[in-house]
Amino acid sequence: MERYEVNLEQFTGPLDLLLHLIKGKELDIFTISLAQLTDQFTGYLANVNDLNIEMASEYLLMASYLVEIKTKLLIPKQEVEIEDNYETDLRNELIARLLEYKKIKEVTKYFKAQHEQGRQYLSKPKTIIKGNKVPDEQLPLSPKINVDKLANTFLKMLERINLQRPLQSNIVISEVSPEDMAVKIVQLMGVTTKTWLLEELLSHFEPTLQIFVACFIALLDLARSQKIVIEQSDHLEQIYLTFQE
Amino acid sequence: MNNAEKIALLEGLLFLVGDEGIMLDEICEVLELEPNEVTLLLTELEKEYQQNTRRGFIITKFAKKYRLTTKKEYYSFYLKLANNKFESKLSQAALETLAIIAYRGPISKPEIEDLRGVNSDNVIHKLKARELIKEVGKSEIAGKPMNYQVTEEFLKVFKLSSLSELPELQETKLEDDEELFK
Repeated sequence: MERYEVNLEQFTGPLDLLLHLIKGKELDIFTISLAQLTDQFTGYLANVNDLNIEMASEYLLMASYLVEIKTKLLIPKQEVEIEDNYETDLRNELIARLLEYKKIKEVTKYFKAQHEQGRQYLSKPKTIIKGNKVPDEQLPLSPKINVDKLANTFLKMLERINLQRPLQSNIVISEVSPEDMAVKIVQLMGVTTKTWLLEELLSHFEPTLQIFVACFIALLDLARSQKIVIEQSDHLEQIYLTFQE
Repeated sequence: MNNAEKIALLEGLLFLVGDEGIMLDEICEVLELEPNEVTLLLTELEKEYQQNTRRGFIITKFAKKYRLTTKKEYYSFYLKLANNKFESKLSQAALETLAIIAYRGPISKPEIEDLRGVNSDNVIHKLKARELIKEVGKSEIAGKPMNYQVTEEFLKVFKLSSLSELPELQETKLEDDEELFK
């Protein structure tokens, strides 16, 4: 058994690893010996130092699939038509999958290059002209809130926070509870009847991670108890908040 | 308004809409002008930016929108302002998944996972959070999972006017009619 420099991190999955093994041996996908490939694949896995189960399951699935095909190949052939086809079909199915995956893998180079290019053209966030009340007709009748958009607004706000230190997974005891935040939000919003932009409401609070998280939970909670309505107009893609009397 | 004033107005408008960009008909609405005139104004402003090296802007197009951006050649300088923590590149897994959705979309998670041979929960979640993909209705396959499609944001980030601009996928050819199996 050859010793490889074994590291699964460098692959995006079992298909990627298979392609790597084929390429490494300078084999042609169409003519690979499945028995040999199976041995290499399982050999590779056997050499992985710390196989984490989460990641390994997909590789093991592929391994069992390969072993299945290999077994079929090694079983003494009976003169049966069906068996023959079955084996060929399995093999062709694997080849088809590999080819399909290879196409995708190759085009990622293009996407990578485009992304490198594209991100060099910088623009600024849209300017929100203050004091603009959103006309009712721009709000859909049955607003459907997009949670991703809501989360994104928060993320964008967070990006403006220059955190003093890198985020670590230590437990920070938050000084602010969502309940306290909810009270503050109601105090702010309850005095006017206007519709608020989410960003506008957030700008009233100190931009720290804990406060934002508390604020986020508070908003969802207020919406659940129907004290506020969260709306999003498809047209503008902005998120608006209205206080319910 | 004379031509120069219209150009100034257009420039200001492009500045205001920022990274959201703006479509031709929306510009027409704000400027109260006909599309053909606005197209001419855009061309003129574009030319001004390109030819006048004293200007730091350029108009980039994505989807059907116009966007005012900085020039690429100064990117490395602007990067000094960036908070590196948030300047995240796309992983190989993310690029793979995006490619699949761009070419095969609308496509559901199980179908994506079939193609990639790995669980794609995480990567799909991240792409959704970055607004590069969005849910577009339900798939017809068993269990009716959500279908995904790439977004306008995707076109912007990858500097594409439409998906038809994507290169053709390269087929691996079978060399001189070899037998498929031995």
